[in-house]
Amino acid sequence: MKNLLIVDDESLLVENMTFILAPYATKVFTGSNGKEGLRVLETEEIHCVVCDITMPVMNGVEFIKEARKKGFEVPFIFYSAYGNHELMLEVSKYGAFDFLSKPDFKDVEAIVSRGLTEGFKRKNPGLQSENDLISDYQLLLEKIQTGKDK
Amino acid sequence: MKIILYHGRDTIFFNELKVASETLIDCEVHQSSPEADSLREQGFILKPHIIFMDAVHTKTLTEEVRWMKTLPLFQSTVMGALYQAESEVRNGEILLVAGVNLFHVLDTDSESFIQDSFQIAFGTRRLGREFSRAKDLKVQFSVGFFASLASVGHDTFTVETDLNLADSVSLTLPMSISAPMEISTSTEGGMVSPFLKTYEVKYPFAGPWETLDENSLQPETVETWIDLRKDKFDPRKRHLCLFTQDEKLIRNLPKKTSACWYQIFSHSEDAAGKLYQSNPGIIFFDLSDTEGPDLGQLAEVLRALREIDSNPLLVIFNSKSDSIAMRKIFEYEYILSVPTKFDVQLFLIFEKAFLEKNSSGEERYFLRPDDEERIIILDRLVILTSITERNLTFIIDSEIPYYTIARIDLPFPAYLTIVPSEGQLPVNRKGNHYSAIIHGLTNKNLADLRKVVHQLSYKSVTTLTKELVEAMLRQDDLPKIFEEQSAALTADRMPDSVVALKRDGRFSLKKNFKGKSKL
Repeated sequence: MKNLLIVDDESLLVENMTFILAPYATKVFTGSNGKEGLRVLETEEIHCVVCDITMPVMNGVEFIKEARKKGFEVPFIFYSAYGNHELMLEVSKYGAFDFLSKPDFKDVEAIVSRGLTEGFKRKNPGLQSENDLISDYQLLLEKIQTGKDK
Repeated sequence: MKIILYHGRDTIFFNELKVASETLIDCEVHQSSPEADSLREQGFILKPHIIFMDAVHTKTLTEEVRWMKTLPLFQSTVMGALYQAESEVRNGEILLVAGVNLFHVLDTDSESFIQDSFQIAFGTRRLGREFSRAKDLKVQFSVGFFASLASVGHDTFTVETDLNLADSVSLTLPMSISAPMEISTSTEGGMVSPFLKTYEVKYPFAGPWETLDENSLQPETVETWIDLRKDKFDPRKRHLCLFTQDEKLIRNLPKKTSACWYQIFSHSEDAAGKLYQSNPGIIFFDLSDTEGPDLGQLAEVLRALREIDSNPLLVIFNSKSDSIAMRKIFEYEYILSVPTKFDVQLFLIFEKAFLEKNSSGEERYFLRPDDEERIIILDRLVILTSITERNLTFIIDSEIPYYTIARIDLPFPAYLTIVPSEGQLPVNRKGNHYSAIIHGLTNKNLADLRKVVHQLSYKSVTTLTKELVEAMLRQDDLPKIFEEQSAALTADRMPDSVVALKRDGRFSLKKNFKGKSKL
């Protein structure tokens, strides 16, 4: 089971995202601001959050900050902040998982799919391993070496 | 609290140290044993302001001292090396290159040596005896400033020094070449040792149009030299950088010779210039929740990397955000986020994997920290303006950072540590006027130096030579020697400051030069 939460004050955008991402999640929950998002986190088991930054009542920065305070370590994927370095830096202090570019939402399915898998792993820590980290590390070293050889 | 550590076994010295420390407020003196305790460990436990060490095992100590002095924690720690005999002092010069600030021969005047150390560490006024000073001198002599041959390549080599060098520098290299050499790059900080600058210098290879003679340097000479001493080079070839303020973490890094040179920074500001020269393969960033390196500093490090067109792998420990998110935030492809705190075991795995992937690479060979062929002396002509048996003042054309170390051979073999003067030193238009502590003298040399100081107080001397010093000690008739000196000395051999002094002899009273400091 992998549940997704989409939080945005633009209802049309939420509708479109739900339509696109429904095949990748068991259930999709929605909220129109950070406060509503927090309520969902408290009542449902959520494995990934896709969230706007600029929202009324409670914006994306406050939302992730409060979520972490309450112990929710679920992956957060932000959009609209992409390109705004200050905002990206701000949310990264609380643990951003990835960023989506707006309005095209390039690679949204792959990114959210990855987020849901990561969220599932975080709720089941036995599945994470140091070997994953070392593999990622070696892949990066290969990439650097390939870049140098070109 | 002022903390002083004596890492040695001489009971007399330790007792003298304890007595001297009673003049300081809030001071603790500790002793550790070179046989039982590690200097590095004692340093981390006590965080001393001054460390005195028995320097019997120079080779072992050299790497310890070098490593400690490159850490932010010990950068300002004053280190004094103690020797039993004069012969040991000369052989211990490699410790000065590693970061020791003062030498002392144990059966000489320890009180003055200890007071000198207090002066450097705490800025206290020197207590104890006042020494006779020969003043108003204008004596030309040579001072040799210590530098280090850090690494050699096939076309260039790197030299670490505290001095600002011009576009070219005259050096004597261990492959028996002495010539002016062109500097290709300069960066802040030592490459592997605690110097203030690193220069990449080109070998003065003979050009195709030049007539070859016995003094010409050819590439084959360098290749042969490198080849013959391949087993003597340090096995470490690459740099790894670590940004952290966590002392426990630094303390837990491998104690035996590691596979890479570790460059440790507590703040991104320290790194900007140094990353260019070291060109690290990996940078480990220990992200801190409270003090210590934060995301802002990470951004500065990346900015510095872009400026030098370098793209090492950046491993960020204690990162709350995922690797892909961090790559997008910082627009840098080679970031690995690790959600957990810095882990030495993981660090070693990463280091090993990095070396396996980078077994070949730029052909550059580092000299071992205890290799005496590292030592390079940069000779400068200065004007001696006053001297006592513990201190001298001199004028020099260039700027010298405080606590730079130098060697003199006249009037006797001894060492100098440049220090802020206790009072104002007059300056002229062309030169900078410095004060220096004289150290590393034996009792015999001290006694002879007193005679020379006395003679200089009454005789007009323009150049110090071996013959003149011998004559002073014999108390010969000096005027004939002076005549010969004056004839030999021509204006075009003198530094500008000397010419200016000799021409008008006027001093203007200006604030003492507040230069750079390496402590």
